[in-house]
Amino acid sequence: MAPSAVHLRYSREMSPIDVPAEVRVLDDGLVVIVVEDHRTDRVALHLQFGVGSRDEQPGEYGCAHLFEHLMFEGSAHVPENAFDDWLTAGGGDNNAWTSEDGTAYHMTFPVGALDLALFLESDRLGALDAGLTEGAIANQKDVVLQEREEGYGEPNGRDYDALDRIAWPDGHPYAHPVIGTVADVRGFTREAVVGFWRAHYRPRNAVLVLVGDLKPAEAFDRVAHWFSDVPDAGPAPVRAAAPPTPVAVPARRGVIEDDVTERTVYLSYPTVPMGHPDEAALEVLSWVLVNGRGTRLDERLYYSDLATSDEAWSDPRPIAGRFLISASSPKTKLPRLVAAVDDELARISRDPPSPAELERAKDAIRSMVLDYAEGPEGRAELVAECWFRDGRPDCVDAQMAKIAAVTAEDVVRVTETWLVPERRTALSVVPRGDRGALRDSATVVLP
Amino acid sequence: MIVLLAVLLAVAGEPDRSGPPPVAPPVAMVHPEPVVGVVDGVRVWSMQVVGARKVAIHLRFERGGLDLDPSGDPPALQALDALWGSATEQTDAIALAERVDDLGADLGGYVSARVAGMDVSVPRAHADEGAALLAEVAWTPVFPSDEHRLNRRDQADWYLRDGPMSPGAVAGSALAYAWYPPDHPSGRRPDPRAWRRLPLRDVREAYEALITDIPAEVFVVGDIDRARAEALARVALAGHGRDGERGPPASPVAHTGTSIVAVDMPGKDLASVRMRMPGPGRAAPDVLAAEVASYALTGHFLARLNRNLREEKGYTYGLWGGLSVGERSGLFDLGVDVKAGNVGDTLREIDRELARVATEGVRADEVDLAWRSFVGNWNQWFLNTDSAIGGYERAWWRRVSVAELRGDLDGYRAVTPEATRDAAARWWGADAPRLWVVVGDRAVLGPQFDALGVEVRWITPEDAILGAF
Repeated sequence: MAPSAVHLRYSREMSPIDVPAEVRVLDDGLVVIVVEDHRTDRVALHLQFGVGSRDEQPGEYGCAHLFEHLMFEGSAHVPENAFDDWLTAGGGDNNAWTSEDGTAYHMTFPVGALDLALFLESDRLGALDAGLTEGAIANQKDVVLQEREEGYGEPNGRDYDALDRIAWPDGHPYAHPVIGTVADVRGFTREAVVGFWRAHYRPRNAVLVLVGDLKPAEAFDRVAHWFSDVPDAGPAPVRAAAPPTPVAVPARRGVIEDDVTERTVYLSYPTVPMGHPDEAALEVLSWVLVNGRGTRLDERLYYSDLATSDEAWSDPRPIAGRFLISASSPKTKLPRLVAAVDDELARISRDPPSPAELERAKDAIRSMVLDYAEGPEGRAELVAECWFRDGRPDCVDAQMAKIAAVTAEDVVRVTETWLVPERRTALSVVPRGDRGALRDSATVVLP
Repeated sequence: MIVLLAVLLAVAGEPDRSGPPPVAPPVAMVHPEPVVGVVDGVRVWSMQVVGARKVAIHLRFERGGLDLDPSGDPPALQALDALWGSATEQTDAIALAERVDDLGADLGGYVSARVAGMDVSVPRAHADEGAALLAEVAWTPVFPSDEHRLNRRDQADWYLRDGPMSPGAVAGSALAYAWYPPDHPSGRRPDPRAWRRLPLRDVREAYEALITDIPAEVFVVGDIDRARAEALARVALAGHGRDGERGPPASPVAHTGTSIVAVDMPGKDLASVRMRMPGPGRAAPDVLAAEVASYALTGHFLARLNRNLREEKGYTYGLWGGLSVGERSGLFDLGVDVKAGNVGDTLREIDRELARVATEGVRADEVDLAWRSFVGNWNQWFLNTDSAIGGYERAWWRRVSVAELRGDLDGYRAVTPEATRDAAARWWGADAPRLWVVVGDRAVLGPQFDALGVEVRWITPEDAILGAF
């Protein structure tokens, strides 16, 4: 007999951002946010730009991600390779990421290296072009193509790029891979790269977050000092507007063959963008379906030995969203896996999530957010994401409140509204020479 | 002139971009020693981390797979590693999973070569429930037959089906099994047939052997005081456990000589390269110098090997590896994926960089860089609950105080370039044992090995995964 459940109540104590975030906007438009955290002498700096692969035009696929590499290659007053050398010597470390919607540069360092960090960031924001050599660009193009090969070379390494190719309409900003195409990456010239940087790497298109052993007034002063000679380049290009919801995606079926030993099917359902009233219920649905023992799809597929793995998650993005389900098996035929998924989704209507299922899903979401925000780096990223999402630094509490308010009726409604078989895209991934793809699947070619 | 310009800019209030702003040398923070108490005869390490939102309770058993079966990690212990924490005598698997989520907890048990444990981390408000959960799972586990069946399936699938398809997995297995012979405790070969027929009672017996008369210790870290921490430890121990010392460490490496093992995966555009050499153990007099040399070779984005193979040649997305230091011996590992046609040059460049360190040592500025980085890592100890408990467990594992751990930082700073040269010459010089593994298309790799004039042992991906060579 199990003890009665104790639910994690989302209290102020649990708030990931429990210290006030202070916000200033510099004259050049750069948004600066500071959060104090004096547990160590470390500071997390997170500089995020409103540019991702969705801002690329045909012919420049992969350019946003290339900057994740080029931004470390030198600027007007920072010689090639000095960025990492100097930061490391200052006791810091750094990295970067690129998505469809944003590019972020993050570092941690002892508070004594704050001026150094701001010097490095402001120099590459204000004058990257002055330090960018043809040789550095050529080298980093090779590194990016190698990165692409390494990812694609592992089993199932191409699945998500292939799914993106068919799960979004042709020409949709999310339809091409973040890493880019071989032809486009090879073809980037210095002129094109600098043009992309000038268009998107502007103070008005960025938010700088500092979390750590700082006093906000002093931190704002140092940021203002170091960014004072960064020119105001005006607003960034207007980004693609959100298309109608849901995105009108043809219900395609695609297949790729790979060096794999089992078949996998991916189902992509067009749903809602961030901020839509159904976003929270779709998130809860995904945890009701897949989160280990006792969750519906896991029990139906994995624990019944029908599949060797299964996943489900909601993927809302700024201009469009989708819900993804996948399942793999070496023996169960793909139509049977799809039928099991369909049956479980239909069961959501027949047998709505119980209060215990709902609470478990919500608790797991809260715990995930809490874990993410335990350190300053995670908190800095959450603050930046909030800013790009809602134009405020503290959206997490509001998001958690929306999760808490989701009802079983909400989950049923979003399932019936959005997870419609007729609108979904299906990708089959099969071993080379295998004929077990869903019927009428066309081969997906990654450029 | 530059000084004058800097002064003028400062007066004008404009940023001085004539060079990087000075950064004072980092100061290694003085982390408090843990409070070590005794609860029901068991040592309890507790430490208050102000501001931490979670409480972590780690139950550590000073025994692992090698203590129970010196011939190596048997399937029953691997299964125990996978199944421990699935269910208890009081709570079935589904109810336990629900309870873990409802508490916002992370719960997991493990059995490694030298140590075993059960850990829980929960929001501070639920620390009592977390401790009770830990006790229930640690002392009254049930190993469900459904989970056992699925785990056996997954393990057998990995060895026989999925592992041989992954170049990274093939390379890792080939390296491990080529380094450790089958009769070495770390070299036991997997037996998929044994996995398929592994009876559940063997898992139960492995668990009983593990917890019988074991030396145990408890770590409690969070924003709680000592009395509260020890009360939680008492709940977690539930009257079990006893004090004691761990057994002797495993024997040092057995590999000798230099060899290349290559795995043929036809049609692969990329090749996975791995390299392993011996390194010093914790007690070796040159261990700190060797760690500094390792950092200069692989420890950061612009470490020598990364600078060479990524930044200068564009061969790779990144090289990883470095020196891992054990109680009696260490290992120096490298891993890099490159285009198959660049393997020969990659091997030459790695050899060249190792030879350069072994003959010249690393520069004084590289020693300084390593020290600053190590201090930076040290100062991140209290970033969150997990990093704090990890720090204290390092001290526990090495049987040293936190102050003694901190003393290593002074030791790194005192390392001289000559000391790095001597350490590198001893451990990674031309005569040191060196094992290469290369996974890729033989048609492309073969001629490059011929050009290098090296003898290569070719094996299949299946043999690499099973260590059948």
